[in-house]
Amino acid sequence: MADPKPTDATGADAWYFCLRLLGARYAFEAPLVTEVVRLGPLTRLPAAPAFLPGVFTHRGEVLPVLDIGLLVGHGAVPIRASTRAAIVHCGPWKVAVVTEGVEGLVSIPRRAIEPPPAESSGVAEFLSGVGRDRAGTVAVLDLPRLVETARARAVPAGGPAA
Amino acid sequence: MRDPSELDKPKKKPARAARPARKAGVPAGDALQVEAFLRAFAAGEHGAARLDVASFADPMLRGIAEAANAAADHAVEQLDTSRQRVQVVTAGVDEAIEAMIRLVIQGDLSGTMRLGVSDAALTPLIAGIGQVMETLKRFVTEIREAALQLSTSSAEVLAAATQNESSTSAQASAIHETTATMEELKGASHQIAENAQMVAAIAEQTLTGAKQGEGAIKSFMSSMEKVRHNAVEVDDAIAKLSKRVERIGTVVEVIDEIADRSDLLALNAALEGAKAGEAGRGFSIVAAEMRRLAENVLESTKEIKNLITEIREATHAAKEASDGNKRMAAEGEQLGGNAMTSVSGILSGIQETSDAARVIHLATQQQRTATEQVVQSMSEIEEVTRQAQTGSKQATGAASELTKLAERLAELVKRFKVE
Repeated sequence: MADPKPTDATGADAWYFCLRLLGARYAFEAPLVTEVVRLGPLTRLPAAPAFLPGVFTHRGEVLPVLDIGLLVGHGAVPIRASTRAAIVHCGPWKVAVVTEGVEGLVSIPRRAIEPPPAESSGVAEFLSGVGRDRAGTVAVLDLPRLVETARARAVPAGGPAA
Repeated sequence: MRDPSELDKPKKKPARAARPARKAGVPAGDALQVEAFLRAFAAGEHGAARLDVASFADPMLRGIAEAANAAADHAVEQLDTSRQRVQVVTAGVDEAIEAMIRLVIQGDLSGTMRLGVSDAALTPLIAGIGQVMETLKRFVTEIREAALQLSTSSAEVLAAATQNESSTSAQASAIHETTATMEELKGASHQIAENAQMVAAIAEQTLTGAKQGEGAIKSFMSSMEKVRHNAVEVDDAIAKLSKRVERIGTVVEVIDEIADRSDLLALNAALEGAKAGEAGRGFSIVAAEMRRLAENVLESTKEIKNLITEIREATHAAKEASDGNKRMAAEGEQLGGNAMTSVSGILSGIQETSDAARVIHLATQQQRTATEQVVQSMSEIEEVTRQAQTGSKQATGAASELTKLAERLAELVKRFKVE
């Protein structure tokens, strides 16, 4: 449960952080997540791309908010008072990913992760595989690549603080 | 006029006869002869021999004797003439009287008297008889007219008496009928009086019923008022209930919020546990348990919220029903008020009916008394009418007798021919 990395090669169970997004179940590596918060009032950034609806202050830090839906070309994820966001660390980047709901941690054997369908459009671009658990199918996102892509796309608009 | 002149003639005879008597005395013999002759003539011996004139010597005496003879002759002649006239007149008078008697007996007054004898002396008589006849004729004519009038009048009297009789009998029968009708009227008024009494009794019963109805309406109205009052209380209760439910909703929101925060905390705790590796395993189990509890709480609050929604709907329905109750109660009260007004009208109407029935009862009793009096009077009138009927019958008999008499009189008068 707590040692995904050592069992990585042997194909033992790994922890994934599962959330609902775009009406489906998505997951990414649990260690990337530092905390789950309620998304407080956002401050819109001028000239920011649509997939970055604003920034918000958390424990003294100003964190950008990432809407994966808009990033992959789907509709925006609705933001309410009860909307939860997962604060993730991807290398030097720390962003808040907007969710439609958080399921929590799920344990999926790495062998059970199948390769993603051969599509390169929309969200499929950022999939690292498709897993399966008791609740059904779950799409595993390659979050670091996704965050990187977001950062890259956001750069022309203005240099991010690194 | 003629009579006196005729009567004068016999008077001349003594004058002439006296003359020779006065002339006698001159010659004794002859004079005595003349005297005797004249005395005899005066005594009525008209047929005695005339004096022999030739024997008288004395010329004076002769002349006297001649004159005496002539006078005697003349007197005799006159006497004869008078006798004849008397005879004629007597015959004429007889004839006239006879004719008159005959005419009277026969009753023929139409013609004029005609006599076979005509003498100036009879003229006054004939004229008198004519006058008598005329008078008789006039009388007969008048009597005839009177008889005719009498006949007509008596016929009229008879007709009137007959009519009177029939009228009286009609009157009698009418009175009889009237009496019968009055008897019926008496019966009818008795019936009316009984009916009026019955009406009064029924009105009394109805009055009692209507008063009970009035009481029922009053209690109905107080019930309606209670219903309205209760509906207001129900309203208050519903309002309180609604407030309580809202309060529960608020509390549930708080619980919800707490459960959500608990869930979030548990989630983060699980993440921390995962980071801690094997050391955080027990921590993760507790966190997962906490999440489940929080989810249970959320499910429960969801249920509570649904129940609150249902309760809200139910209270809304109850409010509407109670509003309906209030409206109905108000309508009921109004209807009760209307019914009350109607019953009040009925009560006064019944009171009037009762009074009217009583008045009718009294009036019909008076009517009965009056009718009885009328019946009494009618029987008296009937008696009088019966008497009048008898009288009018007698009058009719008398009138018919009178008519017969008038006819007889007319018959009798008819015997006299007037024209």
